[in-house]
Amino acid sequence: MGEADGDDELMFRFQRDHDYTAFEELFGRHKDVLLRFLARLLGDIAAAHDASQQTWLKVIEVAGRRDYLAQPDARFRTWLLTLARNHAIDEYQRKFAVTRTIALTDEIRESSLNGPTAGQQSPDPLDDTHRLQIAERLSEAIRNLPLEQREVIALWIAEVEPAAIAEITGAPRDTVLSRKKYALAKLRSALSDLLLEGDHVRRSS
Amino acid sequence: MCVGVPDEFESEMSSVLRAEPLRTTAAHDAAVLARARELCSPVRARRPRHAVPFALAAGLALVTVGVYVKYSTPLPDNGLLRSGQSVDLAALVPANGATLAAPPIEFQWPEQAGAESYRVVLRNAAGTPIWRSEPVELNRTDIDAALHDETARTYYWTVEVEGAGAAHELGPFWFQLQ
Repeated sequence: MGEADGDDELMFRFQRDHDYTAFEELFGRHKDVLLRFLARLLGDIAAAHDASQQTWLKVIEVAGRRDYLAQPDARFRTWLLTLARNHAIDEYQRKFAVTRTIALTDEIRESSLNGPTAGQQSPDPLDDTHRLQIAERLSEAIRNLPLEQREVIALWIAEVEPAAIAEITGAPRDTVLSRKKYALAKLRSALSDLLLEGDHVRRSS
Repeated sequence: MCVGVPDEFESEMSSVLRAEPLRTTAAHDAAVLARARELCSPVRARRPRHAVPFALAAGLALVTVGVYVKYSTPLPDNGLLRSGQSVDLAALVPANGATLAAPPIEFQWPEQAGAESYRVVLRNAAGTPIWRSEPVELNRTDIDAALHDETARTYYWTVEVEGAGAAHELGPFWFQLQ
């Protein structure tokens, strides 16, 4: 999903003219995406709502001070997600989660990550019941990722491009891609039994 | 070490995760939009070039209100409730949008015409009710629950107003704990 055209213009109308409808439109476009990003990052719905509200109040405060500036390649959504990410990390992450070092365990090393092992077939697209199971397991697995991988995955889910993720997190693009790859590997490992079970169900039906 | 994930896995995971229906709550949206409205309110026009017309308009409004008060019947809501859910925010305890050092010990709200009882509902940041008062006749109530949410600092509250022809809800209002 690319950033919708006109976000910057809406923000400037809100800032310059105190145009309420411009803010309402901007808010409507991004509020759910922001909430989902924060929910993934923080692993808690109430904390995500809290951080989301604080982020939007910060947006309003910045507009009230007329401090929002257009910058090349730094559009509204990237700026919004950066605000949210910094707020969430400052306010919550230090209190409620432990940042762990990135270390792959033996079970999820290369041999188990590059695809199905011999004799296994790659699962077909997921059916609905299986999808629900996987969604629940995925949420848990994402909560268990180290912060630096979790934020990359949360932004990737929010359909943010790697270059923008690099800007938001302050990490080089290659590091972002590496974190994403390692995170997906861990998620795949956490789901391995479900993926095989789904495969089994499909093959026997 | 080379770590790889099949493209189809990445594609399936993104499809599952992006399909989740999580949306912001009405209380969250109301709090944000109320703050934006506050910024956009004409009363906040602060540029010097608006000062004279604003002063003239304010003077005219004062004269109009004075004439109205002198010659008309009293407002049925004592002037507190102007229309719909519009509420005299100055009468709220805790103040709307306040950041509190300690949890509040009571709630107060503007008295409502025709109200027979009130009930306060307190919700956490995700909009889940966490406390509901007993019905009270006065426009205040003590809170007899300990506010403790380890993950979020924002709370929303509403007042359910009961009474013949007067049933409605005030709020949501919000506050946060430091």
